[in-house]
Amino acid sequence: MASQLLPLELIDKCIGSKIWVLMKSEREFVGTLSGFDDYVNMVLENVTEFERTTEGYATTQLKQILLNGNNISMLVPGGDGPQ
Amino acid sequence: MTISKNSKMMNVLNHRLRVTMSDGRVLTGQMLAFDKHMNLVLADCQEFRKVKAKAVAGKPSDDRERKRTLGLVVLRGETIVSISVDAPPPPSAEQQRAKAAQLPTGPGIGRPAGRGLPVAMPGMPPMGLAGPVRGVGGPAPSMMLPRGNGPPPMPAMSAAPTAYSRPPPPGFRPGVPPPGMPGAPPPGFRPPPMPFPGMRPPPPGMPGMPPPGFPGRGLPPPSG
Repeated sequence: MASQLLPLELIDKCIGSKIWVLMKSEREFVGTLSGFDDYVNMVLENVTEFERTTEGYATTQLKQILLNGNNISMLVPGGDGPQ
Repeated sequence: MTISKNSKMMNVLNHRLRVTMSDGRVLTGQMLAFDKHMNLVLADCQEFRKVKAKAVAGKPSDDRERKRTLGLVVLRGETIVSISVDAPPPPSAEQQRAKAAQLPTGPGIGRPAGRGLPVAMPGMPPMGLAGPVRGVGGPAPSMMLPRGNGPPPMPAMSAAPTAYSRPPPPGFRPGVPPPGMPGAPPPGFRPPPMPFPGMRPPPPGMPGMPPPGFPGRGLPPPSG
């Protein structure tokens, strides 16, 4: 019995919907997933970038980004972000 | 695919795992899937991390553990340092039902609870569902009927006169008083005048009180 759903298949199901991306550093992104590749480089649209500081989160709005998969740690499908 | 050979990972599939990541964070969640990169899918995932605030002079450093709920998570295998089993896989609903079916039957009996009210007859609404009590929550049904001069409306509960096993004696028609028997005066007639309480009834042969409008006997008729 193999796993019914591979991790990358779950990400593939998220295309077109909101996704919460947590980086290895104290940085997180929430946006609509346009696509990704084998390295899990991602293209996101209507993105909010959250950078964790000691005071809280500093947010930045971005229209469209290409995110290098090398620094991605975790993906939360349908996630709303840290707030 | 090397997944079938990677039996160490297959053994812990669906278990609740505790995953330590390269940046020090710890995740717990039920592992639903993995692949050759050790990317994981974790359900009901929770993240724990040590918050190390800057040690400001005069302020104690905020070194408590922060916990937050992430839900369903895809975890990149590159960041994983170690994995340990936190709990065995939770029993699925199907397994729980199968286990419940194997349990021996106890002495308990299922029975409808009456709660002090008689159980409703079949085909009738149970008590309490039959509508408000008469006179509660509005005027009684008889109050809503138009009032005429005729007799009060028959209550719906009474039935038509029924001839029971014994037939009336011959010469009697059912439902009609026998000839010569006075019934109640028809509507509009005054009842016979009554003497005042405490007065003796008039002796026989004495006329009763005249009806109002008639001049009394003691006063002469007004002349004029």
